[in-house]
Amino acid sequence: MTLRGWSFEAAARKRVRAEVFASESLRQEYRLARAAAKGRPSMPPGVYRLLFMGFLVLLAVESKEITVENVVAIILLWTLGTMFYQASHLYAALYDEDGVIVYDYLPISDTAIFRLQWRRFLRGSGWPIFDFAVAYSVLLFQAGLTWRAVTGGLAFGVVQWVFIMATAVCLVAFSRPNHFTPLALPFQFAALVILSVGYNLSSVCTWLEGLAWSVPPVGWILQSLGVSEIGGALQRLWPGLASAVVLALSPIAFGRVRRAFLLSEPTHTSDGRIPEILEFGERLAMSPEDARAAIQRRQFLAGLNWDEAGLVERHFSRLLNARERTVAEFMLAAEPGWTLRLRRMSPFLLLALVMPWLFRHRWLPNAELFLPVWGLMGAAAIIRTARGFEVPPGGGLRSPYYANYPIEFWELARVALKINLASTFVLLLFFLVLYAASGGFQVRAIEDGLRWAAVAMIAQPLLVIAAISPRTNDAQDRGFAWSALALLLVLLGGGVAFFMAAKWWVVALGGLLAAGASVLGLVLYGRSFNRSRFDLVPTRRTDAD
Amino acid sequence: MKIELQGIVKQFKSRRALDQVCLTIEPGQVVALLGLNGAGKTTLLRCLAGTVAPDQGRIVYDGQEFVRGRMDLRRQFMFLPDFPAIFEEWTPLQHIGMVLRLYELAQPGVEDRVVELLRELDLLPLAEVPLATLSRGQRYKAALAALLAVNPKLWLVDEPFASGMDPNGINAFKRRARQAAAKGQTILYTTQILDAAERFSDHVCVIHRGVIRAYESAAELRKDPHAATSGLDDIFSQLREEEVS
Repeated sequence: MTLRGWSFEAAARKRVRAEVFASESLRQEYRLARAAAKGRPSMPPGVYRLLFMGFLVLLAVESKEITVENVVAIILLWTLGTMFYQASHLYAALYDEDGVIVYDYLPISDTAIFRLQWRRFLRGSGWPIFDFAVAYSVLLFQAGLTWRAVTGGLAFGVVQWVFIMATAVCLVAFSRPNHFTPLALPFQFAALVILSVGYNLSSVCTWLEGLAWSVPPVGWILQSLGVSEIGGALQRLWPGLASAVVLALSPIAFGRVRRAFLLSEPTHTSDGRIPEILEFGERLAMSPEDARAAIQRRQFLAGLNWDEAGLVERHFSRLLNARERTVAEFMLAAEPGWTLRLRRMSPFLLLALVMPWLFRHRWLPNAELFLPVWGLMGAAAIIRTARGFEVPPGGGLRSPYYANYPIEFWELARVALKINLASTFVLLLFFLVLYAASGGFQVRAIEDGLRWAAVAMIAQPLLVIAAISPRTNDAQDRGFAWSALALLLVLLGGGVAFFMAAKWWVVALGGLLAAGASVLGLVLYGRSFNRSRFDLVPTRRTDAD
Repeated sequence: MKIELQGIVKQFKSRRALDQVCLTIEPGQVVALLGLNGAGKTTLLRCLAGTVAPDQGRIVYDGQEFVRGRMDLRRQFMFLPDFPAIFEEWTPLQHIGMVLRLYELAQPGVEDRVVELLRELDLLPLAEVPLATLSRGQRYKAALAALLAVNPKLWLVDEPFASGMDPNGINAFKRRARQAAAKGQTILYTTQILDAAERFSDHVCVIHRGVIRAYESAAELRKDPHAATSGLDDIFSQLREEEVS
C-alpha cells in the first residue's frame, strides 16, 4: 500500500508555492509561519540517547570507574526494560495509534494495515541497536579489545535487537498489554541508577551479572565472550537453549499477533466511540419516567459517599472539607479506588516484604536493590493521576478540564497536596516496613530513610506545580522563567547541603532552605496563576485560533 | 452582565491574535462573534473565560476587573468550548450534578429544572448513559444542559451551531438564550454561519486579524457605508478580498 503520492505532492507543492509567491500578503504569512516553525524549541529524542550513551562511554574510557560487572548489569536491566517498552510500542502501533482509526474508515484491507503498522513499528524501533552497540563496545573495550570493540559491539547490538523484537512479539502474543509500560519503567530506572552510582554497588552488579546468563541473548553473548562464569551443565546449556526457544517461538507469536489483529473489529466508530460501549450505553437507556424519578432522588447532586468508598478513602476524606471533596471528586473524575488498588497489590507488596528477607543471606547481597523497583510498584498501586489536570480530547488547543470550571488555584493546590501527602504517607509506611524486612534498621539506614522522607515532604509543593505547569505556557515569560530558575538553584543548594553536610545545623539549614524555596515557589506560582500571568493552554507563541 | 474589553492585546510569536480590542457589551444582549478562520474569535472567548491571559489591557465585568483569581466573577459566567470539557465515563446527570456543585448551586428544587432541561434537549432517557456512548451532538447537549442548569449571567459559547446538535437542540439553545437575555444575562457566541448570526443576535461583532472591524446590530450592519451593498456576506467578501490582495 502506498500512503503518499510523491509526484502528486511535488506538483501540488509547486502550484501552492507559485500562488504564495505571487501575493505579497501570502508571502509575508509564509515567512512568518516558516520563522515560527523554526523557532519552536524541540530536542529530538535521539539527543537524550546520545547523552546517555556518551556518558556511559566517558565513564568507561576516562574515569575507569565502570567495571565489566557494571556494564553487564546495565545491559541486563536495559534489555529487560527495552523488551517491555517495545512490546508496549508494538501494541500501541497496532491498536492505539490515531492512524489505525483513520485506516479503518478507508478502503484498505486489514492485511495491508497490519503490514503498514508493523513496518512503522520496525522503523521506529531501531534505536536499541545503537544503545546495545555502545554498551557492548564498552564491554569489549573493558575486556581488552580496542578498535575491534566497535565492530564487535555493533554486531552484538544487532543480535540483541533481533532478540528484543522477538521477545516483544512474544509478549504481545501471549501476555496482557496493560503491564508492559509499568514493567519497563522500573528496569530502565534501575539501569540509570546503576549507570549513575553503580561503582558504589559492586555487590549488586555482581549479583545482576550472575542473573544475566538466564536472559537471552545476554547470557548467550556473555557466555560466548567468556565473561560469565557458569557452573553446571544445565547452566551452561541454558543461555543457548533460552535463545533458541525465543527465536523458535517468535514466528508463532507473530502469526498469533497478526491473526488477532485481522480478526479484531474496528475499535472505534467514525467519531471515536467504541462499539461495545455503545451497546452497553443502549442497555442503560431508561424510560423518561424512571429518569425523572432518579433525578428527583437528587443522588446526582450528592456526590461520592467517601465513608462507603473504602478504608483509605474514608480516612483520607477526613482531611477534606465539603468544597475540597467536590473538587477532589471532579479532579479524580471517578471513585478513587485506593483501597481496591491497595488490596489488589497486596500480594505483590507482601512478596516485596518477604523476598529481601528470604534471600538476604543467600545470593542477594543488597536487599535495598528491591527498594526502587518495589517502590515504583507501590507508587503505581496507590497514586492515581488526577484526570482533572489533563486536557480533554478534541481538536485544536485545549485547556485542562479544571480550567473550564470555577475552581480556584488554592482549592486545586490544597486538594492536590492532600492527595499527594496521603499517598506519600502510605508509601513511607511501606518503605519503613520494607527497610525492616531487609535488615536495614541501622542508624545510618534510619538517618537516610528520614532524609528521604523529608525530601518527599519538601517536594510536595513542587508536585502541585508539576501537575499544573505542563498544560500551561508559564515558562514563556522570561521573568517567570528566571525566578523559577533562581528558586530551583536555592532548592538544589539546600537539598545538597541537606544530604551531604556532616554538621547537623548545616543539614537543618539546608532542609529549611529547600523547604522554604519549595513553598515560596508554590506561593509565587499561585499568585501568577491567579493574576492571569500565563495561559492555561499549552500554547507556544505561534499557536492561535 | 456588562462586559468591557479595554485595549486587549494577545501576542503570539509571529502575530497578534488580538490587537487593541476595545468593546463594550451591555447586559441583556445576544452577541454573535464572527470572523474568518484564525481571526481571533476563540482567543477572545478564551480571554474572557480566563484560560488565555491577555498581554495587555483589562477585562471588566460589571465594573470589576477580571483576573483568574476572582472566583466571585468566575462563578458568574460559563465557557462552553466547541468540544466540551466533559469526562466521557460520566453520565449527563453526573456531569450536570458536578457542574452545579462546582458553581455551588445544588440547592433544593434544582432537580426540577434539570428534568425540564433534559426533556427539552431529548436527553431524559439518556440521563444515566455514559457520555462516551453518545454522539458528539448529544455530548454537546449534555454540556449545554449543565450551562442552562447553572444559568450564569454570562454565557461564552464556542460554535454552538457547529457542535453537532440537532435542530431541536439548536432551537432549545436559541430559546433559552433569548429568555436569559430578556432577564439581563449576556450571551456571547462564535459562529461561522452568517445567516444564523444575522437572524439570532442583537449585535454582530466582526473580528478580523485580531481587530474588531464592526460591532453593530445586524440591521445597522447592512446600512454600513463600508459594507458595500448589504448583509454580512458582502463584509466577508470584502475581508476576503483584503486577505488575498
